[in-house]
Amino acid sequence: MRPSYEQLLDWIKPGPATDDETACMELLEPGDLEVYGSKIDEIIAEAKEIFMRIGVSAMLRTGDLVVAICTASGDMVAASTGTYAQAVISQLPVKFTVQNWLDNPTVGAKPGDIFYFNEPLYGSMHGPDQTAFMPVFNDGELVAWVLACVHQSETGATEPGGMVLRAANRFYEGVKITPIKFGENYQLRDDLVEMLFNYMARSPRVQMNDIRARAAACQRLELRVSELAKEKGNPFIKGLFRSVITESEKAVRARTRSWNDGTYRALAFQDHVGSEEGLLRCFVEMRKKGDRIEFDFTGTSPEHDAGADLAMPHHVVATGAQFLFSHVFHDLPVSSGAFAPLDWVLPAGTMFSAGPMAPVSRAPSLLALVVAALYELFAKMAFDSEHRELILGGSGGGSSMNIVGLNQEGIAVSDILSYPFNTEGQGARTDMDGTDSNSFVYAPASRGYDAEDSESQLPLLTLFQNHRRDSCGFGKFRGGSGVVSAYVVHGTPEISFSSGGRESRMRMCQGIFGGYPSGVKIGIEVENSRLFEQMRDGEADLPSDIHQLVTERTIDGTYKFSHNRRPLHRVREGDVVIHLNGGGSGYGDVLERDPEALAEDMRRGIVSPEVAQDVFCIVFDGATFEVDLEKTAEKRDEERKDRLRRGRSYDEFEAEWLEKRPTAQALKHYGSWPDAEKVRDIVRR
Amino acid sequence: MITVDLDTGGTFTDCFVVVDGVPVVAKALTTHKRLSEGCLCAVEEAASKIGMTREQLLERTDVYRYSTTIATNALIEKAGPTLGLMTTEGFEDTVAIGKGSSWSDVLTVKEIRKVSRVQKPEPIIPRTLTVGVKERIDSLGHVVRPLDEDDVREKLWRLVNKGVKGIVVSLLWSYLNPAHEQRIREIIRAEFQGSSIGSAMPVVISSEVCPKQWEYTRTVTTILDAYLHEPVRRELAGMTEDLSSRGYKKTLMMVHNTGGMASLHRTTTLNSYSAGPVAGLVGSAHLSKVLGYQNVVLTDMGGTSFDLGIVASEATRSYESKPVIGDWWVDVTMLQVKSIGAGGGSIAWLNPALSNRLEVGPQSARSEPGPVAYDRGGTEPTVTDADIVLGYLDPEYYHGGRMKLRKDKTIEAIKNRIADPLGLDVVQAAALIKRVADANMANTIFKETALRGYDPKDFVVFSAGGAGPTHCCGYSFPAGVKKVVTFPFSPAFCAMGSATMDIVHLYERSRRITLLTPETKEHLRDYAEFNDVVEALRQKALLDVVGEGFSPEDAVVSLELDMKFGGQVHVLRISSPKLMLRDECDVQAVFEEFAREYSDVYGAIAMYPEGGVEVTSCVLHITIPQEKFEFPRYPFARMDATRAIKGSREAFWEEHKGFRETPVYDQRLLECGNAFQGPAIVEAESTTLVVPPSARLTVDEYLNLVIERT
Repeated sequence: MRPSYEQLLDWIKPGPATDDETACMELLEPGDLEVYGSKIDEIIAEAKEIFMRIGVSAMLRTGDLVVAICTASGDMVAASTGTYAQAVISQLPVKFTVQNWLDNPTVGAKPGDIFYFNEPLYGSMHGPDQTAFMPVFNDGELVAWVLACVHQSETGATEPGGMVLRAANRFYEGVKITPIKFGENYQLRDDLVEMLFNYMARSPRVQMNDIRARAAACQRLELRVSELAKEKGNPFIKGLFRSVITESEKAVRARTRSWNDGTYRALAFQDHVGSEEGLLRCFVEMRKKGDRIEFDFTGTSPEHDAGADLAMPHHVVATGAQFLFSHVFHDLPVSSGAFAPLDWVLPAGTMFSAGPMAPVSRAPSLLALVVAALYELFAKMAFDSEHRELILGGSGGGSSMNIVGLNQEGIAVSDILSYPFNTEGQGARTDMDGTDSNSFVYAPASRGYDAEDSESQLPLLTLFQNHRRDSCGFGKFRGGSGVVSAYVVHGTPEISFSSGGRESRMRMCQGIFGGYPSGVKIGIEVENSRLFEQMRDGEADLPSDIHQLVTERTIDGTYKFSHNRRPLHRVREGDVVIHLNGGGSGYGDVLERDPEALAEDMRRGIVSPEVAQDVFCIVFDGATFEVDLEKTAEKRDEERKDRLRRGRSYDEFEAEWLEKRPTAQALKHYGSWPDAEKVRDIVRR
Repeated sequence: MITVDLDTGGTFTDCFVVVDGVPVVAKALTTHKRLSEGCLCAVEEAASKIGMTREQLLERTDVYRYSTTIATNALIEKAGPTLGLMTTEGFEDTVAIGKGSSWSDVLTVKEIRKVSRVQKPEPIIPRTLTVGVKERIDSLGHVVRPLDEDDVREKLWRLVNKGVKGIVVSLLWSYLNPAHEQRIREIIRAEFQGSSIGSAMPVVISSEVCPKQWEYTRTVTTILDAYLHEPVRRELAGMTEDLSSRGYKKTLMMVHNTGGMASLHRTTTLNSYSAGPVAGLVGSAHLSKVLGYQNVVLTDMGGTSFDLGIVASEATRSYESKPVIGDWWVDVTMLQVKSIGAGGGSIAWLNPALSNRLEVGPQSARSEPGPVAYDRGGTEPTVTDADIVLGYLDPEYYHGGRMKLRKDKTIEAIKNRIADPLGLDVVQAAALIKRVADANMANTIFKETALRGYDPKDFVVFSAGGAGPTHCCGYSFPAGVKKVVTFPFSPAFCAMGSATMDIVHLYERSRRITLLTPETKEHLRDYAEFNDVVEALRQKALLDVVGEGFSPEDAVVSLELDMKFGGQVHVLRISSPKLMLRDECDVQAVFEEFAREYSDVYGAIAMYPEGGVEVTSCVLHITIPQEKFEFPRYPFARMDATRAIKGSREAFWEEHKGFRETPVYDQRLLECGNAFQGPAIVEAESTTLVVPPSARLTVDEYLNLVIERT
């Protein structure tokens, strides 16, 4: 009964229109699609707003969620703005339910039923992404499904947060619920709610509240869609839904046709595997012809056994959706129709097609590689098109920091720190800089919450939280700046932290058309600190930014520098944990950047004088940052000449490059060097 | 008794004068350089209608109430002074970071989706004029790091040397413990004592302007208050002087966006922002009582935008849930007036990305060049153009015949731009434009009522604005609304609204108080924790009441609370059934009111009291009831409205899928009791009401036109 990977991939595309749907489409009059398409958008917007207002977990209240409407057979018709990745695959459990439970006398579906699920093998991105969904009936006929999905930072896994760094198999990852009926008659079943409470006891308050938030959002959608069906009749609804899907497909085909045919390739690397340092490779060949695109991931690193940095094929497509609807399809309906002309080649045995026993709780984190590659691929393809304004360098790929324990009021908490997560820099555009501290790549309009909010809910005091100097990718237009946050444990003897971060050695996203990637991120902590005593004593020279903290070391304590991925560990009151998030990649040659813009960057603390001088090659007054344009031009001319002197032929470069090889540790899980082919079997028990 | 109400809008300044119960409406062009000039022109026109001179009218005026756009203009023109910001060290970028996607605060969903092109607003106080001071207070209000006063002085002079003309101070947790902010203000004042610039260095502290939790919105709110203060003060001082020199000797009353008014001296800058539309909302609330309606949606469709506000039994649901001033998310209590880009000037266009799907707006032809029919260079068809083709608007009687419209040009534009590409005839295309435009507005009515936990079917729509009556049935009936009302004084609806206002003051303070303990659900026992906050607000309020010349006995005190379940961020505002808590029953009563409201708005399934229940802010209202304008009533004349028919013309009706000869009524000739079934067109000087075949119009005793779906 469990769907195969092929089945799940197939379900992402819309099923063929039935004869009934085709006949119903004929009922639509001119203007119906415009009028009722926008009505659906308003229904979605209302449910999303309600979902956000009720929820508790960091991802929910910052807007990293989705609500969607599907046809009676489960094809997605419309979804909310934001986490499109969840939207695309949240239709999978609906389709499973339609095919397996609907006519099953032991399950079935009737008005007021609430289903629930989070099992990746049945379509979820990973365990933390939990979805409630409901059938919508009118006059006894099933006319639609509605769903609400959000990431929950607790699953009862062996590590708090549910994204288990050191998982050896799927059983490390906590509760995994196949699609089940979780409520009836518009009420949740207390016995099943208690079961989840028991599973997720690290943070039951968050869990209990957010289950209700999902159910409430679904109920609102169910109410509105059934009202619409009552008003317009079931045939109209069926015709409308199918028309939306068909129009979406037509629009994607037309957009695709407008780009140049060709084969485009991109590479991206992750520098951590599980809890170790190491290299993983994502390779994509994008073949575009006419109105179709095929994404081929052959050449991606093989499945490994070093933790949960693994994914399944439907996860890759979902991640593709995130990029596509955020950028090049931003003005097209978010429906399953968009995926009809897109094909995905994900050979068995790669880390993107891990076996069913594999742990995949870090799939979204790993798949930032796919987003990174897509930024590059579409920059290449769409630069020479009317959509050039939509291309940009890659953003930060997300880097979570989890906190777990008892808060200052003795309440069990387990959550993600939202501020750094939702303030990563945006990549540079071809005509302007990326936006500083922009958002989170998987939820483009998400918000962090204030220090005063985190400090009231969690046992923390934020020492500083500002833009991180030189975190942006350099170029003619620079990427947006990232943010640095320094947290001090406060109000509790100890608490545990973990960080799923990576990119301490290299960034996943490269710059585009000569731009630089953004700065790497490392782990910094100060243990055995006397910070609170020093603050009480009024010591004046305590650090207010990361450079000061590291170089002056005025906080008494033991300074720890590590890679950014930090497995769960205890941190005592007064100790300091630093979180660096990512900046955006740059566009174009640094020597073409407007010197005046750089002066402003320096005044705002986004770029350091050292970088302005050495990388951007400008000459300026160190006190006022006023630029000497003449000397800058001379210095840049000199640098251009020097580049020519440093240059060599491609053959020379390649010969030297091929001599190089990463360390054995770096290649431990990479596959064969350099092509990342499978070198050993992975056995899981 | 004479009252004068002025509402400054983007194009016109509306004046509503009541002389011994008789209302007079006048309009003048808004004079953006000096708003008082436009106001005086409008007053002059009103005076002439009454048979007085402007000075005579002003000398005899008892109350002059004013809704102004000064703050809006000052923000657009960046007219504020150069300010410096002092914040907690390490948080200098808080405003620039904006909690992430601060660009999304002012965008529509469609605009938000275009992530590749977003840009954040430029902070009003640049990073170079922002300094962090060495201090820290924690979430309990305890001082973790004492204020370094030498550091404050050094940073202060750093800012002063860069030319700042005022200092904004916003420190973390200052709403809980304002000691450091207050001390910084003392230090600054001491530094400037006796200096040549002396008291010319204003200091604004966040714990006084916005004593609310969340440093981002508190800081932004304080910055805006400080930034707009001087231009608003300057303009209003000019207004006071102009009025005074022309005979008005009493206090200038300012309309507030909170839904009340207060004397100029008790008005903060941010109170005045967007006050005009709110006055309309308050007028609607008063009218709804007079007319016996419980729930009302006020709609105002003009040339470029469609505004709506909600009047309902649960007053707390009418507040803006995410108030925005300019580009900035702020934390001030204001009534919500939602605005979307839909008006008579909204442009119809075909979206090539979606197989030439017809869309209307948000782009607008505005008044210049305006619709194609204006013949001022506009080439893109608009909603008004469609209305002409469909026969709703008479090209010969636009604005009472003062403006002739070019129907031929309209037909040509719709044919070329819309009809031919879609394979439709011009009438079908025009009908489609109207349908899509109406649907956009209907969906907004639906969403805004539904989001507050209401059913639009339970609402009556009040229609105002030049284009409102033409489309009111088109956008109301599809939203589920069954009754629509238009008013004889629609052209100055917002100015009329302020004539129905009370004096209202709001006092707010954030304080986290656990009403029900998580898990155990034990009730709050330390009542003083709650009562002390309320009492402090009450004392402050009563001082203001007395300061404004009223007796404390005149004031009606009420309390609203922002509440949430434990762990939530978003709060729900409720009307507290208790001003003070004296026993467990009082606590239970507050909880039950919260539970009832929460369940109404979000559904019972969302309730989770086991997670605890918290009060996060107290909002104390002081209301001093004022005598209100009474609408003149007319005796029943007759049901037959034939004598008001001025002619007929062909108009398009969706129900008939074509044109029908349709009677045209002259609104001035309609009398109390007149009633007729649609289709019909009612022409007034500044607007045209369209009554579809499925509706019936009745003229009520106030000469309002009431249209009901039949």
